[in-house]
Formats: sequence, structure tokens, C-alpha cells
Amino acid sequence: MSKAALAVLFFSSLLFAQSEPSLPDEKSVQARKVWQRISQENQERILSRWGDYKSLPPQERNRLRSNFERYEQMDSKKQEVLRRNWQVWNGISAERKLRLKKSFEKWLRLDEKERDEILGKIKAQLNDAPGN
Amino acid sequence: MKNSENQKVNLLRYWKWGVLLGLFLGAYWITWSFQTAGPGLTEEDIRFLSEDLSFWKEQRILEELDVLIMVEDDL
Repeated sequence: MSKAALAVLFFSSLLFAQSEPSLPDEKSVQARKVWQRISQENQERILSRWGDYKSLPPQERNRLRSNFERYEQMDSKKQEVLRRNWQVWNGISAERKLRLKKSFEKWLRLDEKERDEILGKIKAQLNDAPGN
Repeated sequence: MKNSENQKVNLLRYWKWGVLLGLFLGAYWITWSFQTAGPGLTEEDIRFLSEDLSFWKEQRILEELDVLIMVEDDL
């Protein structure tokens, strides 16, 4: 009996050791606290996004992460603009989104001078518009 | 001799209680750590995932959206 008890004790200690491999550092303790403050509904949403994120190819994951880092480094005004644009973007139809994406690709291919020319042209048109 | 046998029997009995107590505490501890552990995400992960992934996907275009809407017909 004592041997069996020792065996049980041994295996349960193994189990404990596996469930908590080391003492959590301060960062993970803080992350746990943040996690526990999130509502269950949002926890589920975050976990589902985590799954989606994990299933992306590494290059795309890196791209999203670097965008996130860029966002975190922006000042609050720029972040606000981005959020406002996000609302606008969500109200745009799928077709228009596709057109805008194509335009964006074209826009990226232009150099500074070409961009300034287009912007200058638009400004001139706006100034010539009736009522100005 | 009889006394020492009694002591052995008593020791064996305490062993069993000790193991049972250990098992009970262990089970309680495992349950507690599973409930409080979270998914192992860092604070940064949580901030990142608090936003829809599409937001990060489209971020570049969102940064230029105002200008883009203005110039799209001229491109």
C-alpha cells in the first residue's frame, strides 16, 4: 500500500511540475491580471482571433504585428484618425473597397512629385469650383 | 515489540492520510491554476487581439484613406 501511495505521490508531483513549470515572472502575472479583467465574451473573441492569427502565414503575421507596433507608436491624434477611417472603411461596399485597394497600390507606386501634382490638381479644381 | 508494531501501524495510517491530503491539495491547486492561468498571452498580445485582425490588415490603407478617397478618380 505504501508503495502504491508513493507511486501516486510521485506521479501527482510530476503532474504539478508540468502544469506550472516555473514561477511566473512579473510580466506574465500582470498579463494574467489584465486577462482576468476582460469579460468572458471578449476573452472568447480574443481567443478566436488568436486562432485566426495563428493560422496565418508567418509573413502575414509579421506584417500585422509590425502594423500594430506602428499603431502603438502613433500619437493619440493619429490613432483617432485611424479609428475614424476604420469606421468609414466599414461603411464602404466590398466593390468600392476593392477599387480603393487598387488605387492605393497605384498611389504607392507614384513618387513624391507625381503625388504632389495630383494633389495640386485637386486643390486647383476645388478652388475653381463654384461657390469658392 | 507490540508497542513498536503499533507505532508502525499508526505511521502507516498517517502516511495514507498524508497522501490523501496531498492529493486533495494537489487537485485543488491544479484546478485553481487552470482557472487563473489564462491562455498564456502577453499584455501586448491582448492589446493586439483586442482589435479586429482586419484593422491591422488594412492599417496602411486606413492611414491614407482620406487622401485616397480624394485622389481615386485622378489615378
